Amino acid sequence: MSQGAIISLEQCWQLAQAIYGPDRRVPEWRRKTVEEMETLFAQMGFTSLFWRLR
Amino acid sequence: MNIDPAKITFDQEVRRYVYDQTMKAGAPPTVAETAAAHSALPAEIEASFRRLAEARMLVLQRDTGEVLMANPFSAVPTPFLAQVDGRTYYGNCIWDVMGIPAMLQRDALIQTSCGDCGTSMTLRITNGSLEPAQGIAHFAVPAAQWWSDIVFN
Repeated sequence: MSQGAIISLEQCWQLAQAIYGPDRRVPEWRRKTVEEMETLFAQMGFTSLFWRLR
Repeated sequence: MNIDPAKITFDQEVRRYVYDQTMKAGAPPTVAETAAAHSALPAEIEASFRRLAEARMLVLQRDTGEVLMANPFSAVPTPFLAQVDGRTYYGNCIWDVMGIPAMLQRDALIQTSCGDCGTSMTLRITNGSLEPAQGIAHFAVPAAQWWSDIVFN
């Protein structure tokens, strides 16, 4: 196993808001696509191999 | 793939109910509670839970088929606790426990501990912002493998 990745608590909070902010009770809610997650990670500066999704 | 529109609608309603109840009560409803709320058979709810789990919208307890995770919420106590409006919720990890005030759109007091040394850690989310705090978040498993074993992760 790799040693993992470390992010700041503020980055973790930003990530939490991005993923869990949208209301999952509404019918149109869906999980983010791989492409959307890649974009989110890139916007947050998570560009290392660890964050690669495919 | 041939998807039954009626099942999609049913699953959306079940998902709405699971999250609504979790947000109100602090923990996901059982199969029996969900069945009673929908005038459905437990087997229909179990099947719906399984479809939602296959779509990675829920994580189920391996032996019972009950909800283990309605992310960010955990159905069982964990070391990641959020107190919101006097109610206690459990998250699955540091990311998820921060997701609880993000989802509820409320202030929260988060209590957890360092995964390395066990030192207690208290975080506060106020008016949509994380109050300054010392610490880091560590991710052990590479992102591409998160769902290989989401319970471990």
